This record gives sequence, structure tokens and C-alpha cells, in this order.
Amino acid sequence: MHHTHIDRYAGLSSPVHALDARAKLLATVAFVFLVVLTPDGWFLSYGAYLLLAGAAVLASRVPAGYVLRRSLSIFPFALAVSVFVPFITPGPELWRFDWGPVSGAVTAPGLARFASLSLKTLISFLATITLVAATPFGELMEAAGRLGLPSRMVVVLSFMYRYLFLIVDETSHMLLARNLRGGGGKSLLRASGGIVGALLVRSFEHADRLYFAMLLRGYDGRTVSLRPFHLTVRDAALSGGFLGLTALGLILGGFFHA
Amino acid sequence: MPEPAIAVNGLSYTYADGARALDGVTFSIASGESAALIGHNGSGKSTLLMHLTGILEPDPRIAVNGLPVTKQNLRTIRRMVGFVFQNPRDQLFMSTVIEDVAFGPLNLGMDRREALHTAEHALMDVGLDGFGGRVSYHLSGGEMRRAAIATVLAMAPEIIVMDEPSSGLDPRAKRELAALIRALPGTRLISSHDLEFIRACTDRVVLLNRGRVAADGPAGEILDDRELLEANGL
Repeated sequence: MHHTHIDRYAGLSSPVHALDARAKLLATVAFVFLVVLTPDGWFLSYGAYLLLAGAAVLASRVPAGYVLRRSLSIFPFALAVSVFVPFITPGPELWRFDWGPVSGAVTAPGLARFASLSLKTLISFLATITLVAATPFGELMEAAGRLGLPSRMVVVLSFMYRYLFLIVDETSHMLLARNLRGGGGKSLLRASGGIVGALLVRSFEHADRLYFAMLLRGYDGRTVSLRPFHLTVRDAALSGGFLGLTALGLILGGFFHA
Repeated sequence: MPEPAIAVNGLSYTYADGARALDGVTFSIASGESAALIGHNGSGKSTLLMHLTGILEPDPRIAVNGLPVTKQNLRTIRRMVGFVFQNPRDQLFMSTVIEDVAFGPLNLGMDRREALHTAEHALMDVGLDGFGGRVSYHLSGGEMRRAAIATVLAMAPEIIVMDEPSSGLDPRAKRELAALIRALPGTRLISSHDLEFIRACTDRVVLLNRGRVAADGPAGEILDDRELLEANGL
């Protein structure tokens, strides 16, 4: 069975793909920090960030529609947090409503804050998704390991990615088996509980055998990689330049905001 | 007389739930031999194989190249015995085929270039040259099996043990696999209940029934004895 997986565009060749994964990862994390820490209402800065993130998407040759769709698909989770901001931020009221027991007001600073939060979230998602789409997952994990993420976490994350498809396959087979043997309503629900249990046991046994397979091939807790990592001047210059422009955007935004 | 590659002497094993899997099993396999372990489902084949590499608790009633399987010897024994799991998905855990095959060599302390070279060689040996960059979960059943064997070959084991290697393969993939096993160097111990497959790739058969050795002899002789096979659940 084939799946659309997050490595779908990882095999393209582009300046972003060619970057050293560590440089890419560090630049993206630093970028997200700068974006998130930019004060509310510095819209010129946000515009600059959006241009930079957009440029990264274009340079990566990952279809812009894909990056945007993925970003928007996680957007509701951020929205769930920020949706009340317009109502709870104190300031001059723009619109007051009074519907029986429910009353409140939308304030101008609240609205500005809401717009800022939404933009910052979207920009951060764009950057992160471009990073993940333009880097093979294994390489990304290894880069994270080399940058100090504990080896055990790297292994767990890598296996989660590696075996996710297997679990999805097994689930869909069991769901199919359940549906074929009929039953509706309550019995369907009961069968679902069984499926979750069976999946847990299967995954557990699978993990057991997997660990032995690793032990038998000399695994001793350290992962050694085949991939050479070379940080070139070009890598440093590109990621440094990207962050420099981001910082410039921040400063400009602050200058015009004041 | 040279030390046998595998010597099992009165091995018994009972699982924690009380199921008796092995009951006084004794046999030995000479170095360089291609032997089969056959038996019905639940006859104890897999349990026995798992004992060989100390996956179950190490038991000194088994000796590999004269070395008893004990906790102290596990590292050495695991270097000598290559184990091909029944489900190749258990064996292919990296993102690409070449990374999987190079996993063992890298752990043995080879440098990148050497490990890559060894891995490419192992892939060539199983007829998968050019598959290195492929993603393992997109391989066909036969290709996956071969890749799993390559991961073991890359460690250059003296003894190769395979658990039901023909399961889930179509007839052609089976024939190709049998030919591959025939051509492998070193001692081979193949567990299976696929009798045609066993005939094609081994010379010697050890027949298990309910955890005991029911017969042990030349492959042709045992596989032609319908009565014997029938009596032992095959």
C-alpha cells in the first residue's frame, strides 16, 4: 500500500534541499523564535517575514499550494487559542454586543493582537513545513541529534516515522475486517475497542522484535550514520543571510511602529 | 574432528505461560552445511532458532562453533550468527535500503566508506544492485526478503539462520530465494514447513514434532518419506 508521506518532496533538488540539514534546522528554529518574539502590531515586520518565508517556499520548489494547505490544516489549533483574544484585551471598544446572558466587546488592541498572533502562527508554520518538506526525515532527525537532541529521542522519533505507515496499514486492514463482518451501532463501537487493543499488542511485539533485530546487528545505543555532514561556507552564508534579513525586518518594523 | 557449527544438546524450554516448546532437543550441524529445520506450526522451530542467538535467555546447552551460548559469549556469538527474521519488516528499520544494510557494518566499527562498500556488495550478492536509495516499505515482498538477507550478509556471519524465509513469496520469488540460499557461503540453518522449498535449498533435514527431534537425515530421504511426514503433522 502506498501512502502520501511527508518525504514526498524531500527528493527534489533545490538550493533549500542542498543546504546542510543542521544549518537549515537552526535557521528555521531561530527564524520562528524571532517571529514569535516580535511585539504585537509590528505589521511591517510581519510583511518582511512573510516575504522571506515565501521566498524560502519558492526556492525549495515544493509546491506552494502544498505548503499552504499543510499550514492551514494546523491553523485551527492555533485559532482555538487566539479566538478569544479580541474580547479579553482591554482597550477602546469597536463593537459591543449584549445578547441576554452573553455580553462583551471587541476592542481595537484586541483585534490587532489577534491579527498579529494569526500572522505569526501562519509564518512559523510556513517556515517549519518548508523545512520538513525539503529535508528527508532521516536527515532531519540526524541533524537534530548532532545538534544535541538526545539520541534516544532521535531513535524514537525516527521509528515513529518509519512504522507509522505500518500501523496505518494494520489499522485499515482491521477496520476492513470489522466492516466486512458487519454489525452496526454498538457492536461496531465495541469492535473498535478491540482494534485499539490489538494494535497496541501488535506494536508492542513488533517493537520487541525490532529491538532484537537491532541488537543482533551490533546496536549498542549509539546510532552511527552513513550520511556525511559537511557545513560549507555557502550553507553558513545562506542561513546566516536569511536570519540577517529577518532581523532587518524586525528592526524596520520597530522603527516604523514607533 | 572439527567443532560443529551448531551443537544442541538436550535443550528444553518452557514459556512463561507453561507451554512446553522444546523437550530434550539434540542435534548438530557441521560447518558449511545447508540444513533445514522442519516441523508443523508450533513444533518449536522458531523457539529453537531464537535460542541460537540468545534472543530467549541464553542456554549453554547450545554451542556455536564450540562456544556455549552464555551471557558472556553473546556478543561473540551474535557476530558469528546472522539471523533473518520471519517478517522482513522487523529487519528493515531505517529509511532507505542502503542505510539498513550498512547499519550492522557501521556498528561493527567500519568507517562510512567501508560500510557503504560492504553494503553495496551485500546488495549485489542478493541481486538488489541499484536498490540502495529505495525506501524499504515500498519494496515488493521478494525484494524486501532479499534486502533483509543483505542486512545479515553485510555482517559477514559464519552461520546464517533464517526463520520461514519463503513465507508470503510467490513461486518464482521462492525459486530465486532457494537458489540464493544455495549459493550463500558458510553454514545455513533454514526453518520452514514449505517442503518443496526445503528440497531446493538444503541437503539435510532435522524434523521437529512437539518440541522433540522426530527425524534427522539427508533431505531427499526424509522429504520422500510421506508416512514419516504425515505422522509428524506435515
